[in-house]
Amino acid sequence: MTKTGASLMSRICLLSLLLSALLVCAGILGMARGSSEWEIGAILKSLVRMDAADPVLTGIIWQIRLPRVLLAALVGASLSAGGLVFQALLRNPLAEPYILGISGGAAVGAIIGILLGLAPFPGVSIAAFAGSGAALLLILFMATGKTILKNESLLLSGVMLNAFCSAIIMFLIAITQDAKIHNIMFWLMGDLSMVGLKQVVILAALVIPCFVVVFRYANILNLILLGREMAQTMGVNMRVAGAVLLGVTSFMVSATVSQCGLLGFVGLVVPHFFRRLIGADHRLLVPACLLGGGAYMVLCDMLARALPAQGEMPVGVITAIIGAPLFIYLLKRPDKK
Amino acid sequence: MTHAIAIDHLFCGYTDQPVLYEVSFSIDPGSFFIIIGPNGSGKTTLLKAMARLMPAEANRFDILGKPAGDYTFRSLARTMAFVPQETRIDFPLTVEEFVLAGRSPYQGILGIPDAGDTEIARQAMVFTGIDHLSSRKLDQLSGGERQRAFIAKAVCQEPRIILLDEPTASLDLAHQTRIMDLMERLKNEKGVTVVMVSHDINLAAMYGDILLLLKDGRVMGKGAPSEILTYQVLEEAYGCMLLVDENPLGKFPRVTPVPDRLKIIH
Amino acid sequence: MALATILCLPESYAKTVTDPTGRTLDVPDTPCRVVALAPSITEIVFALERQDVLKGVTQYSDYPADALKLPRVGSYVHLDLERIVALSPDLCIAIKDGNPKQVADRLTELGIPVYAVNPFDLNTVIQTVEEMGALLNATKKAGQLADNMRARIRRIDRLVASTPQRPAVFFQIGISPIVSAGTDTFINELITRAGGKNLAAGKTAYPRFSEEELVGLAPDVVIITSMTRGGEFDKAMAQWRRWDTLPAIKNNRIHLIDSDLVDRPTPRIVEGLETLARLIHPELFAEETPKDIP
Repeated sequence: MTKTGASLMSRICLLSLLLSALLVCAGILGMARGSSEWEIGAILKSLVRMDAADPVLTGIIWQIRLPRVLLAALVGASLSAGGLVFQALLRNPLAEPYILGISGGAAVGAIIGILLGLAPFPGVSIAAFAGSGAALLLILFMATGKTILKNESLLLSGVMLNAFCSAIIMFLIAITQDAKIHNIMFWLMGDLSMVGLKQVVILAALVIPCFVVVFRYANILNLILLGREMAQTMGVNMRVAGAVLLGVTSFMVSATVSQCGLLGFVGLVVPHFFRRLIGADHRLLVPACLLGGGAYMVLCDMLARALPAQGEMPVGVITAIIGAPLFIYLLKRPDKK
Repeated sequence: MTHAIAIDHLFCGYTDQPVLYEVSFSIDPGSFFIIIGPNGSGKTTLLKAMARLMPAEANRFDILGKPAGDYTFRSLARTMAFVPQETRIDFPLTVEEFVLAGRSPYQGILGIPDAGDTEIARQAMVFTGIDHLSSRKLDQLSGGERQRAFIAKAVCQEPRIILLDEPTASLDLAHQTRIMDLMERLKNEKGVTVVMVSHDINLAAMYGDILLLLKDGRVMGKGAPSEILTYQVLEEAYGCMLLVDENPLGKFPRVTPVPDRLKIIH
Repeated sequence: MALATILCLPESYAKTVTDPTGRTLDVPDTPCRVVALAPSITEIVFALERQDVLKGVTQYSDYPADALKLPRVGSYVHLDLERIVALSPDLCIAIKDGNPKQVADRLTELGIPVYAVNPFDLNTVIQTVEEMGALLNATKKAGQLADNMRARIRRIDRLVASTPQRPAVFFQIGISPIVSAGTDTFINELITRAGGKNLAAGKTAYPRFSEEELVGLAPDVVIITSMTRGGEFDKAMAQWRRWDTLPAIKNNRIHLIDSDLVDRPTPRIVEGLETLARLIHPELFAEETPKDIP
């Protein structure tokens, strides 16, 4: 391998290693903080499951905090990668993973599920997933007739659908009068708290294959950035690539949203952050967003639990409080590279 | 002899709004083939149809003797390269990264370049005279430099045919000849068939082996510049008064449009 | 994960019980580390005099005052799983209408038995007291409480039966928007048993009213719950005073009641019943004057 080739490979590996380490540290930090107070020494003992560890703490760490940290990592990775792909595919820096009506559809599905009294898992999750799937199909239907994947029509359809779903959501909230409102609000704000290892494993099984596919298409994303026509003249089958990327990313984001509600700002800010830091090569950006996005989410979740004196904040609040100023700063700062 | 491109009865557009119809011609390999015609004659559409960027129907459309539909996108990219008219790119790629992208039809999944790729890219940049700009960002180049970067990338695809859409449209005089000379070198040194759309008839006359004149989506003529560029044919195609004489530089026509104040009323 | 090992001795899961929601579970004979998952449950535990085994309560457990000293485990709609587990309970008592089912499921998955009670009317409240008495080995005290509650309810029933009058009552639980309680609620049962007619009776559990509709209803008595605390009561009163043609306003029969007395499915609900009865039928309690809680 040449200098360029070798250096690219080594940059990918180095970046992945660094961010993996960051992710692991974030994870440990995330597991060290919770609503019950324990000494750091005890926590470490439980993490490695020493015999001298306190069994109650070990239970808390492995049954409650670990699933939560894993979920945060998966969610952060999934949303960040989703934002990255949509920004490249639609060639729009404001694109974020919910842009194609996924958030609206999922929310409507979830609320209907909650109102019907379905259990959060699997009932409401499946309802949310069905809702987002329906939204996507509707958008594709609205955008055909013109060339599919023509940017403006897809984007516009997505924005309109999300707005329409917002109206439906307002209506449903207005007519709900009992305690179910609590559940609906928590779902809309994004909630990572009530998951067990089983749900995390299922989500992992759904989204990790998607991560692999997205990475495999990293170079194609680079070519798509140069323009659809240019990409095709360089050998990319745009119809297949576009369909695969759209389908896989939508599936990944839908699965994530169905599990944990609408967590905003992650999918928008993380890709831009890494783009400013390491450039526009998606072979570096995809692992960066997956690992870095995961670490970001784990840290936000930890802050959501650690900051308030009593109880916890919704994670969506933290991602917004950190994400919005960060995004504005990134926009204003001139290109470093 | 296998034609580089052979097209018979090409139709492109909508039934009530045809853009190209009954277009038939063939391109000899290793020739400099220039498509000319007034605005709206369908030149760019024809070029894009040849590049398979636009859907078109034809009785025959062969590339290097093989039906165009038999090529996969990748194999087509290894055979034919396309240089667009609009070369603005908003992303902070370096020139080297951009030119290397031209190797992707030959690369594996992640497109990691190997020694061969890097060398080919280097030679392409030397060929187009931009190797001193290799670490500059694309959006920091001038129009002419960017155009050459696109050509370097096309050269990396090691194509048998290169298609260019009005490459000299927004360039100054120096760059215009530079680009055209580059194409001629490509043709002479590497035997690449050059197919170009041009609005500049004089450049076409100077460099083209065969010209294709289009008007309103149909072929009005095909042949050597001295055959096609007569004032009868041109005035009918362009609908204005033209003076055609021989260019002092060589045995090819020179076309000059006649302003109103100099028109002699016969 | 066998958190079951972290129980206090003597550990014996001798009892298999079925709770009112139909879940079957194993509970210890003598639970010694109990977590109450709702304020009403906390109250009942204290009423049964078994507060010594209570190790954790929810955020708004404020009655009796001693409950404020106990560790908090989140609010009853948003329970803190980790804090509950950290207390190593051998029994959790949940309330069906309020606690999210998934928390109960999670706790069960982690090896902590969760007994869910389901008090939705006066009878089931008494039943809940007895069930919890059985769970916590306080059957004698539970029996006493139950008998006391039944006796007092019977007394009210008798007094109310002695008059055919059923004044129209508007029970306000929300200031803006104006919300009352429909047929399928505790409050409706209390009003009816206290000898009143609930003007908000109907299918909707918590119907909203516009001011116009209120005037049309012409209530004889208006009772406002203190859930709308503090200055809100003055605001509500001011709102009502504008309609001085209404019988309730003319006769100054607009009262405030402590919401805890009518909201919480605990022994205090009987006190709520009695208070309501006094406000609706003051004439039946001539020897005592109606008490307004300021």
